[in-house]
Amino acid sequence: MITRENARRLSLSPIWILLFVSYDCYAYLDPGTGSIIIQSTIAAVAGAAIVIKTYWYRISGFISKLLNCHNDNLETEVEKTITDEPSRFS
Amino acid sequence: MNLADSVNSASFRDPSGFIFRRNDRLYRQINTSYREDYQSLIDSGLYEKLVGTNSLIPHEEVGIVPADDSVAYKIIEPAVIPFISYPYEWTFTQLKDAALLTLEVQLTALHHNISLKDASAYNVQFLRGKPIFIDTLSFERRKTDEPWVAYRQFCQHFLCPLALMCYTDIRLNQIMKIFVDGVPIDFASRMLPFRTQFHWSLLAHIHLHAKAQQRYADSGDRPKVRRKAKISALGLRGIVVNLKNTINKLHWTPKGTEWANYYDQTNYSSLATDHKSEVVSKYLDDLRPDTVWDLGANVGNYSRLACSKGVEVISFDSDPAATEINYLKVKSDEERNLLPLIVDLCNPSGGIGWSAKERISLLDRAPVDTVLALALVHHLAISNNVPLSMIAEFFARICRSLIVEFVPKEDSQVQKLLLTRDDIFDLYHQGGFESAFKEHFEIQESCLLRNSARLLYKMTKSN
Repeated sequence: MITRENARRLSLSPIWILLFVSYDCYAYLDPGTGSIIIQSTIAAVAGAAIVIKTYWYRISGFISKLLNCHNDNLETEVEKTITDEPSRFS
Repeated sequence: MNLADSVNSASFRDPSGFIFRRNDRLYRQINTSYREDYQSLIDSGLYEKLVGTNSLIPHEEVGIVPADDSVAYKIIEPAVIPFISYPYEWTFTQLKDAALLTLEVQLTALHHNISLKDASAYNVQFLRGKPIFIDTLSFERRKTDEPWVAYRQFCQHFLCPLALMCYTDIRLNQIMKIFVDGVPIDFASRMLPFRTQFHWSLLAHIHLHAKAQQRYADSGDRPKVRRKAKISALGLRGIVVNLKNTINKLHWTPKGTEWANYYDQTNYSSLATDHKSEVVSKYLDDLRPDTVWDLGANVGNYSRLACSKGVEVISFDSDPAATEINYLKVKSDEERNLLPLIVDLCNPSGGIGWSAKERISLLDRAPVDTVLALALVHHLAISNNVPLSMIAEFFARICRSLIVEFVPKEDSQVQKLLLTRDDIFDLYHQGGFESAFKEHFEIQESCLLRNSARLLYKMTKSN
């Protein structure tokens, strides 16, 4: 039976926190809201740049093939662009 | 907490663990809260890969009693960095190399779905002539679409000071002394010249970044905005690659400062220079130091003389161009036992940060076996009005033995210093010099350099 006392206890219970608080993952450093916003904007552009760059090589490779100017090193270049593994670790 | 252990004064912000010293050995405690991330670092092969490329400090897991047993997961013993240096003591290229290392570590980590949770310049040190990442606890498993939490810190610690040094004034490396958590982005945005607004990457990472910070500084919708912000793995790689390209394109040519061309303008004859090298070499052989601080090292000619004897040398000079030239030579010749640093002896690095102990002072990093002070004392005594007794006292605080050059007033270099001012230096003569230094040192040997009036001394500290 729900008594007034039980209702009061329930209303103060930490279980409500679980229902209403979202699970944002906070780091021990505050990344900064403005920094996150600008970061996500730059990331969208920079990520798109990587994709375009990757496909640009593929398109130019395709055109080269059509024109019978196949470059033997093309695959290597495409691979390099896709992975962009830092030189120090390659 | 074990009272016999001394916890490192810079190791308190990250709850993942801390550095402590026990019986003169350095350890790092990993707390249980960091267990999963530490195991990911090891089990994913990232640790092995980074250590294999000398990018991350190697460590050994040890079975000693933890410093704080209540939260301990493991204790590791990292390789020791012989001399700790700070970003405000680094040259442009040293800071640039530290930045590129941090980004390379981040790119490699992202391949393992791990990300750096901090990107502080203080997580990088110089070991055997190269930068190395020293914070083993900076790695965390990346959650899907999570932004890079250390992005702002990277901009503050690396991009902003490098851009300021490159586009505004090279001496702005010193600004890291004022801002202990890196240069605020709005500050950098104001200090950079207008033309940097047309540099796409600097516009985005600094100028627009500053505006975004301002926009959301007190905004009530911050939690909502943050929840919505997501960054794909490709986007995050894009941003790190872009930062890497941006920093790679920042250049500064060391020229135009007072000391950059010093060795072209000295008054030494080659006879005196050869004799000086010969005597310094002999004194070093007599003293047999393991470590040397070359004060006023310029581009490091005499530092290299000491290095050739297998000594670990730190070259200090206040001139950013001369020190940069010195570091570039360390890089090109792959010298492993020389570290050039920018330090003004009239204002050596003090303790800064929390309790003024987070980044320790230069004096607290002493003593060194031997100090080389060649063609230096006249600058301290005459250009900076420091009495000889105080110079001797300073040297006595930082070394056990000393190789010092006294340049008398009749020398043309001292005459040049006195040309535009009153000669108020009555005690500046050989007798005054020797009596000031005898207060703290025993003069073992001295030598008049051929073809000059200069004197070289070998001294050991009095007991």
